[in-house]
Amino acid sequence: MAHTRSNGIEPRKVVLAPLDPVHDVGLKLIRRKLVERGHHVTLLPPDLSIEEIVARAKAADPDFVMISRALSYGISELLAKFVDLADAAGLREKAKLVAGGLSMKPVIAQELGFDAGFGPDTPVEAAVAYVEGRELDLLGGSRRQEKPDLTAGFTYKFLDSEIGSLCTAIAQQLIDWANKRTSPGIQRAQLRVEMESQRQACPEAYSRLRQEYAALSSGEVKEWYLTGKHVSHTRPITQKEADYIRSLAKNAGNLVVPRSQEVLNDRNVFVQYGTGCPVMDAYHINLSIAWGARGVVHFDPSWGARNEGLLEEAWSHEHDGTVLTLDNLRLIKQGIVPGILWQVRAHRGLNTPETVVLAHLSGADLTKINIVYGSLAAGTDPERLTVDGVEAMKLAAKYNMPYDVVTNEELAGVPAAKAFAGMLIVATAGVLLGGRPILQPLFANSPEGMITGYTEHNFIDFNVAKMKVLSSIIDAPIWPGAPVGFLTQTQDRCQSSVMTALHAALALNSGATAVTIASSDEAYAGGPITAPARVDTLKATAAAFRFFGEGGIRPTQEADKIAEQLRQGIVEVLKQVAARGDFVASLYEGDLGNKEDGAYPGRSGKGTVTLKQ
Amino acid sequence: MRVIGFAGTAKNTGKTTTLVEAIKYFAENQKKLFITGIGYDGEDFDNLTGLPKPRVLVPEGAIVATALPLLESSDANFTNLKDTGIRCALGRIFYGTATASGRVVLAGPASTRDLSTVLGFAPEDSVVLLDGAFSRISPMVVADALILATGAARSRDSHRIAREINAIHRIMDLPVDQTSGDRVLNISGGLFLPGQGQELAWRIKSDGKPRTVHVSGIVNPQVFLEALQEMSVNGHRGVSMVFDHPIMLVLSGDLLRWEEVFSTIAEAGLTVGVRESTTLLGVTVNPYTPTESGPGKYIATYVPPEAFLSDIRTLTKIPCTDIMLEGPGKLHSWLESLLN
Repeated sequence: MAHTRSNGIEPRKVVLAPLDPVHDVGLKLIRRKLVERGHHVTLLPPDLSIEEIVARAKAADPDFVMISRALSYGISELLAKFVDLADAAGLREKAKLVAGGLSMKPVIAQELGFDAGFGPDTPVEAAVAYVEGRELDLLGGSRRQEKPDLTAGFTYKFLDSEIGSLCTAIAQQLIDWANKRTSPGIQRAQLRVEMESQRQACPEAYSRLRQEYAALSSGEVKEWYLTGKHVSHTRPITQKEADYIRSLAKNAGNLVVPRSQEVLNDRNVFVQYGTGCPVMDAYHINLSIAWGARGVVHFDPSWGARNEGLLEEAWSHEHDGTVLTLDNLRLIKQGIVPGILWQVRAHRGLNTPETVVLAHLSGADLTKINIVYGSLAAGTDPERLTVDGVEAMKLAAKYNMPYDVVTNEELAGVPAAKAFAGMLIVATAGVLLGGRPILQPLFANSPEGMITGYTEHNFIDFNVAKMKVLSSIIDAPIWPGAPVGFLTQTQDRCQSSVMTALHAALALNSGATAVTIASSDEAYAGGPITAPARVDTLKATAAAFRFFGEGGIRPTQEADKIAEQLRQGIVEVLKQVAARGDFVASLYEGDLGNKEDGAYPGRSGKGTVTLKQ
Repeated sequence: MRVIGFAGTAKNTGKTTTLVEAIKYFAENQKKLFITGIGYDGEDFDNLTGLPKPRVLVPEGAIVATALPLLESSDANFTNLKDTGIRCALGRIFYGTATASGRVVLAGPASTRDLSTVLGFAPEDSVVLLDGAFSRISPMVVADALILATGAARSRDSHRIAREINAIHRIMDLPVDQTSGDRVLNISGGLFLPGQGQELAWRIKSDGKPRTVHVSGIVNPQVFLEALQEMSVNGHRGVSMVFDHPIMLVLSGDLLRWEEVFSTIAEAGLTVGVRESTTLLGVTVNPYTPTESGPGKYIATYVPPEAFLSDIRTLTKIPCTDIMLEGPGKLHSWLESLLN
């Protein structure tokens, strides 16, 4: 038993009184905690009359009397009568009266005349804190204020020397190749930096640079720069909308995570947003933070990857994906409260380097760069994305901004071994360029998983194998996503939430640094993201973490076998790429995913790469 | 300073409506008001039934003591906010002066001790309006006068309501007896637990011949009856039983048992009094009652208002009114009598 003198807590006399026999579990929990902390506790038997409770409590001369009873209309009168009796008997001269139980909340406790009221979600610690006179926000717990560094403690050293040698050689080749080349995307990124420095300082210079920028743009984006015509399905954000976003952002600082969700505090759970409407985004960010998300990921429209150039000013977009502009990002940034990580992605299109610039200028913590996925499964020409990707990684290193390297080409059917080989090459290049990449394996029921039977009996072995093989190859952070659970979720929100939650628990139980989860209605259909769906998955994920705790999830022996198969596959792919001696050619020729795998080299930006002068 | 309490025999018996009309009356008569409550009142919807509730509107110049967040969120724009040093379940209780008429939610001190502290901040020339909660009445001992709200939410049976009103009226009307001296036997701890009646009778017997027995604390009519039966057997005619306050007699047990107590007292040749008292000005009767329409769901229902009031009025002697049916005239006359 812990004691007062050693823990510095003044011992209190507490009487606990259940008003019926089935509602004393909470009181017994409280008793255990109070006794452990050296308080003197009397637990009265159940089913005493309120007169007897008052008399026995009075005899005990307590500092606190805690009553437990599920509330109903009729019972509320009984509790009010108890308060009256306690008052008239002089019990309140010294003792504080506390009510707890189903439906109890502070306003009802106040109306009934109690000094405090604890509802069913109140943790035992809150009751203990109240007894000890400590401030504890009963509405919610604390949210960590410091931002975690997802890359802290990782050395980026290869643990698998064979794979390390192959990756390093290939990565050096692709860097050397890219260093000799440039693209409109790189030039616009450089222009954007200059434009932002001149925007206020020298409007004339800004205007001249803007014309140069327009000349390097294409399609509707170029037309907007030249004529002001809105890009299809976009409209400017109104002042009222901007004000609303600011008001939401102001509120964000007051958000507290409910105690039931506090388990997420120690886990880096990310959610994605990108409704197209910055107002909705701000709302979803607010909601996600309030329900325990530690990070949010900005998604832009798919046309943003195909058009040369990014817009300026603040825009609303009619379809999925929120338009990437500095003004939009700065508006949204206002709702990113301390302790919350913000990732602005730049991984698949013709504006990859400039997106890293905007992420930096708007204060993002993380970005997302991938050459292989963007080239083979997202429509961008491999040559172009390799040049732009290397520049983006250089910028991220310069801005000291970590980035993840995704493997979503698995969704198209590319085997994990090929996708991992591509990810490891790009991550190695990132390290060679001075950056801090984060590996992002897909946790999904991917086509490969279904075809090979890896996911036939469970969804654990294949995903655990991915974690095992990656962590045996290199000492780098792993952030499964994005989001986890692809192709395991359905349009059923309950089922989707459960699948998301289990995948998230599996990821963090397997040693992942972070995890990105979907909303229960976005993962399958890619449809509208509703507020309840946001809460669904965050609550389900917290419940899963609570369920497994430190208990762990045990894979079968298949996981080791799959991990070994993955390693062998990775080595074979890397040897093939190394033998070719031309990373970009490997992308075109299918070494990292071919047409049979469902991977097609993209065409956006084809022929735009030039040798540097 | 005059303190007027608005207590009820149950939740939803019309305390707030009565309070709101009293506020209007005193505002029209330019009285300085200090308003607080012992529960939580003035919210849009009831926290238990979800049904709409009357709003509490205070006039410009009124001083209100309530939890600080509620003062700050009121559209009465309270100024000169000061801390009473008392906490309630919703935070620290502050008081401030309304700079405009507006709506406020009342969440004041819960205990008699804390209430006394808060009332210490009321100006000497003010009228203090003290809003009740549920059937809670204990803190109303600090009130000079009391208006009792009852109605269908307590019981749909008008005869039962009338009997309860009569019992409360009889209790509140007990004479004040502040006798002291050698012949007074003081008994502490009240009279509300089984066995205390016999113990009281034994104490009186062993004390010899006390003329006055002062029982401090809560008194339950059933336990008092036990005492009376024991005393009758032992023959203690002429003893005067004195209790702290009438309110101590209505907190425990079935109010209707007091009818039996009073007839037994007369037969036993005893007299009963109280040390302190509060004037019962009148009773408001409310035909409204929430009715459960499903698990946790309520709808507003009413008993026939005219018949309900008429029955109760016929069977009671204390002035009664239904404010919604008859208007606030009768309430005003009670308040006026107090001021005069």
